[in-house]
Amino acid sequence: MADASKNDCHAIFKRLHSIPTNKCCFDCNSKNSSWASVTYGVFLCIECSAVHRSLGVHLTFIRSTQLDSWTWPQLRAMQVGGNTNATVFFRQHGTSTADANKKYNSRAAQLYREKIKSLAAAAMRKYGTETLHIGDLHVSSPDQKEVDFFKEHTGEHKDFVPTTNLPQQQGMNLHVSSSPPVAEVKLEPVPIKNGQDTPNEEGDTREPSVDHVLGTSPSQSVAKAEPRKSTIGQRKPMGAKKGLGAKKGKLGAQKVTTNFADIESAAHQADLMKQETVVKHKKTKEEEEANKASMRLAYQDMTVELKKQEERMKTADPKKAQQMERLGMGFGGRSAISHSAMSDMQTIKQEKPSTAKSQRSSSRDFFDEYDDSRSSGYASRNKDDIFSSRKVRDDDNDKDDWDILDKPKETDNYESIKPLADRMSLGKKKQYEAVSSSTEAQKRFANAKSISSDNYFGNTETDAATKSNLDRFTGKSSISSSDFYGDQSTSDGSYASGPDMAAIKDGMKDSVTQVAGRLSRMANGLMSSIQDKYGY
Amino acid sequence: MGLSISNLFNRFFGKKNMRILMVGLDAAGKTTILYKLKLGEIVTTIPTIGFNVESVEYKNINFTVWDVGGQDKIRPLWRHYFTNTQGLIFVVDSNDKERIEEAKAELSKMLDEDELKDAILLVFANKQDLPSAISVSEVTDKLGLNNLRNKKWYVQAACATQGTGLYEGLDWLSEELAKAFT
Repeated sequence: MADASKNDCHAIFKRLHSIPTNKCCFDCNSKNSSWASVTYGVFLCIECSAVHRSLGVHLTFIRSTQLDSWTWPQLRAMQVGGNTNATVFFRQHGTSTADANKKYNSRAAQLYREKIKSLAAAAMRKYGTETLHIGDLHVSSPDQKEVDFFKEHTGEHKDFVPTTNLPQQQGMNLHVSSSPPVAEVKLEPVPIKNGQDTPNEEGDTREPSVDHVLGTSPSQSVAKAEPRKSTIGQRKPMGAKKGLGAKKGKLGAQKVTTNFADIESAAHQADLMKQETVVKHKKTKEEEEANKASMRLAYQDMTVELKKQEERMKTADPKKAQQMERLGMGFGGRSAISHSAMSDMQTIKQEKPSTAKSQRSSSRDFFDEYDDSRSSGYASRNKDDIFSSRKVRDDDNDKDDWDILDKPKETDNYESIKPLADRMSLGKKKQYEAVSSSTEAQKRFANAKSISSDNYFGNTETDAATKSNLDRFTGKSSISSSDFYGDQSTSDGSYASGPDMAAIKDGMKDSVTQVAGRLSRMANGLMSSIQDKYGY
Repeated sequence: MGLSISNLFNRFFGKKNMRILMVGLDAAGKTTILYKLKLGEIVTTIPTIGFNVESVEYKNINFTVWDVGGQDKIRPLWRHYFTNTQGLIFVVDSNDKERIEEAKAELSKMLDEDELKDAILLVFANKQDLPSAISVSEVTDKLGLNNLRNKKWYVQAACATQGTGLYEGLDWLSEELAKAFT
């Protein structure tokens, strides 16, 4: 989350502090409220901020208006909040205790947290990061719209709360998504009335035209919602469209409209080509088998399919079709691929259509690309490269693929048509490469109270050591680097404190005995010299 | 011989000094830890603007602990305390998952500093008493310590208000210090 610029922060706080109630501490009413709880959008003095800090960020998140940098959602929270609103809300909910712990653990506090959170999110949606002072607008807005706002707001609540990402929100998401929306509907009208009574309030209850808010698609929250769309919302339709359903759909549509003479001629050509390529590619047994299987499976459909596609190619770009013919494309590059696709067919039902398709057609680069990009989209379903990759490949189709039979590229493409399990793991690998080791570590030290570099890395070296270390750390509250490295550097896999203390003790013993010996020797010498001297 | 005895004596019974710098994000609990160690009691601490410094004696080692405020805009001042620092205590609010990334960024920024290349790193995963506190293993992971091989580090679960884990952390510091001197 990008921080707001220093000037923006300054301007916003200057304006907010111009409101008399914001000049005083929300909790103790003392002057000089240069600290703020973002969670409640209230201004505090430094002493009260200390109390808030001790409560934990899940209850209240403290920032200094002067010494901290602020993000826009945080600033919006302050703008929609304000001491007056909070005071009114807490009073309305009968929370007048001065005990901060009780006050901020109360139901009212929870409700207000959520209210501020959602209002700030709404403000973020509406104003983005462009408008500085959102309080300006409420002056001209009619009061009636407030009710609309909350109706809208509570209806909308469920939708946008999970997508927003104010720093202080995370801990509360659970509550928000479950119970509060209903509760808020009941409770909200009260502060609204108050808002009408006191025109001094800051804009939160007065924000107009939520439809507009919903309609606009500015910065933060929408941008955050975007990835979700691409991963979940888009995936299914894509799969349906480009996969089984799409093909059938195309088939049906095309049958009616295509010129059959063309199709026949194309099919003839395709047959010729097929035979060519089949002969060509009895290179290896594997390939042969794959071809056989694919032929057996797909031979009948192939002609029709081919015809259509070729025709399509011709109409789209006669040159391409020509080249395709000239190059005898398709099976040449495909046989190995179709083999892997065959293995696919056995393992995954979903993949059948697309892979079968790729076997059938000798000239199907263009569509294959689509299929591939789709399946790579599947493989990396959480990534955003679904669109980008497709775009890139579209471009490729226009240029490279038809000019040169680009084999390496094709193999590239087909890497993504590995069996589903592989693909999944591949995608996961890419994503979680870094994470996997660390999650492993997390499991390993799940019960540990401390971790050190020594035992951490020591453990990653050997499994046996890992286990023994693990056992050692269950119930421990600390893990040290020497513990992690222990297995590497010393064979005893030392847990930091053990051997070193022993060493120190030993050293101490030695030195003490040494000293004692010397002293006793000195004493002996002295005694004997005295005895000698005085002849006792 | 007297000299050697006194050397020996000092080596095992004399006081050692260790300069400790304690940093971390704001509201992580640095000042609370410092005064818990120093006074053995919980003081209500206001946000530190500037620094606190106290000497804490433990296991015959005199820890001089510098506690520097962690507000965003005063973090650049941390580097002025780096010189001669033998031990770096990095305090993390285990309950503040939102800002653990920020903590990581600050930590790695510091570890890149040349002046701290010999300093050993103690991480207090503080506020373990709070409901959604993350575990030490998670802290280790989130701070990227699993990639930090060229440094002595130690992550200790702690709760400053209850005093748990603090002395375990100092134990490790003193052991490492003893190792460095022997």
